Amino acid sequence: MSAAIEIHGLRKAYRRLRGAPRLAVDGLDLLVPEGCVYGFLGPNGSGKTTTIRCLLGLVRPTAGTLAMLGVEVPSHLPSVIGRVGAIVETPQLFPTMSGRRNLALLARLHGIGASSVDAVLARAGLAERADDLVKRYSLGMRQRLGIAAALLKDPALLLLDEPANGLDPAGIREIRLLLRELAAEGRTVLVSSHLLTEVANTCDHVAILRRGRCVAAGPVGDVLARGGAVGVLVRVDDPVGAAAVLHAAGLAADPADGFLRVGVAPADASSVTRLLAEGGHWVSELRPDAASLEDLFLDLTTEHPEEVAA
Amino acid sequence: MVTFRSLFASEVRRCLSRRAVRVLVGVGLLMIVATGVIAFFAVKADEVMTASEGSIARLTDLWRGGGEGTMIPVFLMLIVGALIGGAMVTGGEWRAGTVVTVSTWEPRRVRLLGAQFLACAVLAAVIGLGLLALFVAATLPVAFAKGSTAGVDGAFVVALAGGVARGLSIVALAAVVGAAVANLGRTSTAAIVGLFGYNAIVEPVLRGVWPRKAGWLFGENMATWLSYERLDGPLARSPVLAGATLLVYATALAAVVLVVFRRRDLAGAS
Repeated sequence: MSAAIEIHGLRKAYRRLRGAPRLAVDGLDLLVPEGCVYGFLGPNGSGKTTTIRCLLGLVRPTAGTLAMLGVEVPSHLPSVIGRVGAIVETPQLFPTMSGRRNLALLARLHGIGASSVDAVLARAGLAERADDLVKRYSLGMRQRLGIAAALLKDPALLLLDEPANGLDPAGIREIRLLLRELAAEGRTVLVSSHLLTEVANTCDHVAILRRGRCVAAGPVGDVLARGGAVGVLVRVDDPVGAAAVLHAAGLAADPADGFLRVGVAPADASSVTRLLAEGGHWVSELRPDAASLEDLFLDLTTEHPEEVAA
Repeated sequence: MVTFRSLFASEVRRCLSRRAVRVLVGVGLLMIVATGVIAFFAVKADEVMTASEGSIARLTDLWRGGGEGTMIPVFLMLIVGALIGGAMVTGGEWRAGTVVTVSTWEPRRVRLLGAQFLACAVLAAVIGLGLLALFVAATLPVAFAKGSTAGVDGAFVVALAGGVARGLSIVALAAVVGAAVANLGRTSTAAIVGLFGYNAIVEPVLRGVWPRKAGWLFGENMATWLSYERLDGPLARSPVLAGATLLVYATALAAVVLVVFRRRDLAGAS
């Protein structure tokens, strides 16, 4: 599978009037396969937005190489920008124009027809308010307009920085479905988000950034596995007695929050139920003890005092 | 690929949609209409022909040559308006953050900002021409009712057209200067304060301290180019040279701003 985005050794240091430059991205390597929804995660200040800005030529990388759709950027960005749609933070459009007029002006730049404007407005769920002035839009509506603008170029690659920002739950669900639709159409979507559950439900691949570096990347299942899908959680009436049965069979088992955490792979869960049934303990609930994306995210990105001091 | 023509057309539409531009044009319209109405009622017919400083009721006094004429204050108003308008159009882009959005559609920044400068210049000149035409129209009732149209011949029209063309060229350059300074500072307010501070403080001080160098100042060159009369003094220069000097100043400023804009980060650390 070829890469829609290829980043090697990206560094970006922002100069400051006083003090040393602030390193926003520190040697980032990233490969985003074509045709997937790629989650781009990290706490505030971890370098997600700066990376997207570097890809779009909005800021100049201090070092490293970047490519989108096989084209090196920013040096050859003009030749590829027509196939890339983007939202960078909160979409900024002209407040004294309607949403439709904003899109029409952008569309004219690339010779895109008015019918495409109507189509993307409908797709972003903004058709009914398209003729209102942007300054009267809520944050969620601005976000929808930004998504419509990003779709206007019929892009092969979308870079969406917090696209669900300001959306209500129904809007978030619509965005999730839209992202899946876009991937199904063969487009690649790089989406940065703080909504970890949404990323887990939407994305095929994920990268987690911390202090400008990638600390985990790959298919979501693989990344979660790295976080430790180490056993199964079993609910029984008598956890202590059940644990003794499992210990006698040579399995690690510890009571935890009303469950029994058992050290067997989820695929071998039947052996646990069999042993417990033979010991007279009836299982009322059993599920894999997998780390959630949130657990993994917090584990990988939480600042420890000694690191902050360093 | 985005063509320069579509970029320019887009910039023109965006400029025209700015509230600041509409307010400035509205203020200009209001002032001109008010001038026409006040002149109609205030001018006394028996004083028109004897007015040595020129009268709004005498059509040939619109442009008397030598930097005099009832049209001169309108030019000054247009130049100030163009400076403010250019600064507000560009500064507003930074304030609203739209410069980032547009840059994700046209990453060639020199073309992007060049189109914006050109749009500011062309619009300032076209709006200026419209307001000048309205001013002339506003003076017609008082001229016909109480004044005179005598002397309006081919030579006068040619002289007037030349004055208007030179004046509008200054208006266009003023819009570019306003836009360029606002782009450099990423804000319209600082640009407007800076430009008026320069005009009100820096140039008078330079003129006072180095009077022999005054021929290099904006004010002197503007006066020479607009009046189309040779500047007096040690650094006397021809009107054409004065016009060229203004063009070089504005072009140099625009070039510096284009280079800075091409290299700068469009967003800071977040």
